[in-house]
Amino acid sequence: MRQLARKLWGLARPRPAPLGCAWQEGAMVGVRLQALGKREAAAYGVKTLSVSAHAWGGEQLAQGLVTGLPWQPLQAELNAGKVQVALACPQAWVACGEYAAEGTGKQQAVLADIQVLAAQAVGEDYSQVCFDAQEGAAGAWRWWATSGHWVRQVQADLKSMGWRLDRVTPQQWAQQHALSRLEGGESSLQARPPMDWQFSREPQHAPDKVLEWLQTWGATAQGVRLAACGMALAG
Amino acid sequence: MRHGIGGVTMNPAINLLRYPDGERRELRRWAWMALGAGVLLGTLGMQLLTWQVQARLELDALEHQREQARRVAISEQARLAKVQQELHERRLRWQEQVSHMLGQQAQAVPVWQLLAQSGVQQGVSFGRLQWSGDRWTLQGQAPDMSAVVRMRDELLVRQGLRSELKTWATVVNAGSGAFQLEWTWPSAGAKP
Repeated sequence: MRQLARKLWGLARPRPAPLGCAWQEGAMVGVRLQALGKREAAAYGVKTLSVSAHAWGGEQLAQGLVTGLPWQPLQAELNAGKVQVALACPQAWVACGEYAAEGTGKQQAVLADIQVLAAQAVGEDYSQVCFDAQEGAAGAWRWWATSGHWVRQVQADLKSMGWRLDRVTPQQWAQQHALSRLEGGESSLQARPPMDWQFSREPQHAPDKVLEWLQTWGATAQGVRLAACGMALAG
Repeated sequence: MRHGIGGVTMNPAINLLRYPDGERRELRRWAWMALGAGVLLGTLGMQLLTWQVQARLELDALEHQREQARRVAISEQARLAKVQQELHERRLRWQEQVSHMLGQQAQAVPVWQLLAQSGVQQGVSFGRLQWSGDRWTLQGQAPDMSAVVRMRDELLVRQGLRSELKTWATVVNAGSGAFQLEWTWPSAGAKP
């Protein structure tokens, strides 16, 4: 009964902002954003971890998140088990592809075909792969996939701590999402520390310009922070 | 809005958890919501149905009570009308009886006067003249039966009363007898 009441209360109250996370070899970043009015949000906290693991497992990732993020404002939520995690997945961990649907195939059938393709690309069983797919023009579908095995491991480890994994997104998408909303654009990446980054709710830079900046900054440490901010923004 | 990254068109919302687990979760969530909504609507429907049935029963009971009251009122009205009718008829009967009695009383006076005159001439004495309804009875004493017969004839001639000598009893050693005459009035041929 108490659990039911807690769930109902959880549905009724506004959802808290997610904890955006991103990592690459040797470093993991967690970002919590704070609203500064209607349009802007500032990077609330950035924590860089030195992690030696090359191949990330769910347990390592979860432990890294927990031990690496003892931020005071988050501590209450951490203790109450209210943290929602949005994770940017390194591009190397994401397989992507295109699928041309024949005629006006039903969406379920198209998704089933894509699931098979995604499982083959990731090298997992059909039922294990995690993927997303979106329909473009003229029946052209674009899909992204990652290993369902490690995603479920991360989910299980986070769940044991009362956390919840809400979103897993390719890192490039998260970077582009954040950079298109970063106040000052590339100059902020160059001149401001991540703690002082500010973002708008809507994109304010042209996609071409964003892509150009990402070619320079995408693979750097700033790029990882940017991806974490993108996940916190997208939540 | 679409943004290009590395020459690839990307939508703003990619979530690798969407399929297949997220979709299943979403379907389950919708199923539960639909179930909850169904239960809620069903409960509301049942409640409304119950209210409607209850209201209908209450209205029927009220209507039944009104119908009963209406029937009782009609029955009472009919009873009162019947009582009034009976009273009216009884009053008419009384009026008729009273009128009849007044007529008899009015008739009794000349009859008695005639009897008195005739009786004196015939030597008849009268004891009592009484009537019950249309039936008149005269009792008295006469020296003989022929005096009574003469008086009876005189009644017929002068008053049109066709009387009948009912009893004659001779009193031994007294030279007279007791008689009783009876007639009906009003009768055909009787004078008013």
